[in-house]
Amino acid sequence: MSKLIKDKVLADNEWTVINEGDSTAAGQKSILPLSDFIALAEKNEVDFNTQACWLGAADEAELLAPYIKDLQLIGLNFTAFMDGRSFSQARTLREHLDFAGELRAIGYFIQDQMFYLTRCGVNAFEIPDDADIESLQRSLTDFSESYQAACDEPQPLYRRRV
Amino acid sequence: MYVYDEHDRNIVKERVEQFRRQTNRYLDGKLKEEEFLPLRLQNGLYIQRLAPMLRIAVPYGMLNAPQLRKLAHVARHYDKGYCHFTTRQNIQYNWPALEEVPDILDELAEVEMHAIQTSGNCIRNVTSDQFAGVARDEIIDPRPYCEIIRQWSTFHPEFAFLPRKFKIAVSGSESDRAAIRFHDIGLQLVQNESGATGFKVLVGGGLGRTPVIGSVVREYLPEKDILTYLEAILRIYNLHGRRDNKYKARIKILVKAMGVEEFTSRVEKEWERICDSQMLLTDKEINRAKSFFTRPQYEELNEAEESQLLIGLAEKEKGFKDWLQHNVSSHKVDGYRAVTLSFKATGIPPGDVTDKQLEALADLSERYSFGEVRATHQQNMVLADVKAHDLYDLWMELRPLGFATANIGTLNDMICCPGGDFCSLANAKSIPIAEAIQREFDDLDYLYDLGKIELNISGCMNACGHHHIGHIGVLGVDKKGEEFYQVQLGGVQGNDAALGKVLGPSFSGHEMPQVIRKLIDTFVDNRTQDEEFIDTYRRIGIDPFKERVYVKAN
Ligand code: SF4
Repeated sequence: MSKLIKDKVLADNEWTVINEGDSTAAGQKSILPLSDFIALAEKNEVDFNTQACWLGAADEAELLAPYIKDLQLIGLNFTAFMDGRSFSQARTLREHLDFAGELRAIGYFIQDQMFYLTRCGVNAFEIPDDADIESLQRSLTDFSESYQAACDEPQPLYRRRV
Repeated sequence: MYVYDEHDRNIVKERVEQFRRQTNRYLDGKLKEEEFLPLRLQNGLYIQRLAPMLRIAVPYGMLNAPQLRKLAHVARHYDKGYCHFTTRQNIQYNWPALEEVPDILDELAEVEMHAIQTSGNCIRNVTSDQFAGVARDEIIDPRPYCEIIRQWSTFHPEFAFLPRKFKIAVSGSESDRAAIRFHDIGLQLVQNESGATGFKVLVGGGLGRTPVIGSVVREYLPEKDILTYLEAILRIYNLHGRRDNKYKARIKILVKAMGVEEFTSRVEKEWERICDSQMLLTDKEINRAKSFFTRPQYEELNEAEESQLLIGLAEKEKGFKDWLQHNVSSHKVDGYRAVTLSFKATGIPPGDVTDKQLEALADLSERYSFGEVRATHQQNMVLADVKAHDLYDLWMELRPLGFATANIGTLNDMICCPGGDFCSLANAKSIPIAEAIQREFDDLDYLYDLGKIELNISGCMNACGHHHIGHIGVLGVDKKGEEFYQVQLGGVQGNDAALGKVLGPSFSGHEMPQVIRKLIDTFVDNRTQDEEFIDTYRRIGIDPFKERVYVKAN
């Protein structure tokens, strides 16, 4: 299982990402692809204690609106790190749908994106086993100040300047 | 001019440190080439044909004397003693060493400069009118709003990995000098019936492979809503812009595909959700931004006396008269003028400037114009606040520096990208073409008779030389490995924006001066009195030009 950084520190990773077409093992905490999740949810068959959902970059975050209170975790999957749609999905989930659970970046993102992702509301990152944790944590705190309001800072700098 | 406070300073400082760490990781082999690529681009660093190229941001074109001196220092110590002004009011160094870039950025940070977001698929440096704050036709000074937008876009966490680059321009005057119709977002400052300030918002303009004139999505947006509205536009673009084909990834393609109406309604819908958020601007912030762009300490001068003096001097010396007529513009304050320094002396690549010239410029700005200069998107420089009675002395000082060529607005004041001499994307060289044309038209009086003609040259479809919006546009093309040039006519960049039309088959480089000569001859033969080139073109159409140029072939 991949390592996890959650709320800026190394944490246990209890959830397994299920790819499209894969099946899940019983009792395993699984992050399902959106289509599988929706199919279960429409039949009222989701066990929210062991089942969560991940979005591909092209998926519409708003589709999760009916389940947003029950979901413990939502994954945002990067197939290519240059694809920045997940950044907007994250803010949509946090700011429009008021998602309060764990928002986890999975797939191919790079450590230099983690600061921005955090600002957009992502609080957990699945990272490769050989990742240099120290360097990665340093990237998480690249900046101590930001101009814009975002999920980590409700007020833009101009409302805070003295 | 905007002055950093501790927050701004801290942000730029942390950026330099961040980039140093990224560069070190790359040099240590811990950051892959393709992962370092967008990171260095967002710091203005390209790996070019001959060496890296570093692009420095000049926010909306404003520079002060200490910054000019620092740029000179960087040119001398880290480069070959010169730099280049681009058509987006930025600066490029062509020969820095990759390992030294963090040091350069460190030095620039000392004078509140940086290379943040000067390239890459993010929101780029916001551009504006070089005559902001001094133009007689100004409605509202755009610079405070440019600064507000600059801060909002700097390290915007959501929009650093857009489908493609994103450019915003702001105009505050009646006649548009910022080419707002050719930007991803163009903003025109306006006042509504009750005198309140707001923006007309245009989206989806651009040059490049698919040139498009921007569409209006909002006739009037109150000033305080600007950041939330920009955020809504960018979010729709970030989520829905194409990512499968980089030539179809700009917002203009999305707007076209969706249709302006559908695009606008999505933006408005998104905006309604966020318009009351904390990103709503405050009076306090607008006033704070405005406080940096107040009226300098102008002297009280008598306009009639000052202009009388100029007329007297001009009568005595033709060179001064020409310069006055072409390189000096009116000013909203009595007795003052704005002076454009020509960076288009024949034989000097347009926009290039040496370390010594930069230092001289710094001195001149301090002595004549409150210590500030502005870069223009035509690749010249402006001293915006010169007393009319100082003009003669200034002119005398500018001449030995090579900045007094009285050719502003003429055919020889061409816009020209670096092209094949420097740029790895080029299909053809552009600088030698510019020079050959300048040599062909070396009689200034003849150029004056021709009146205003905008000639724009790009070395490839990326259109950094804005060839689509030149009255005459020249585009470098590659034909079986050889450099050729396509000519376009009828482009216009201002309020009555238009895209040029292709004249016909392309030409080899050595034919170009004669091609331009024939175009000009056609104009002269058909022109009525003092009619301008573009008006003649619009009256008679492209055919007479075509016939004259291609006559030999038939
Ligand atoms: S237009 Fe083409 S050749 Fe010229 S600078 Fe831009 S990319 Fe390079």
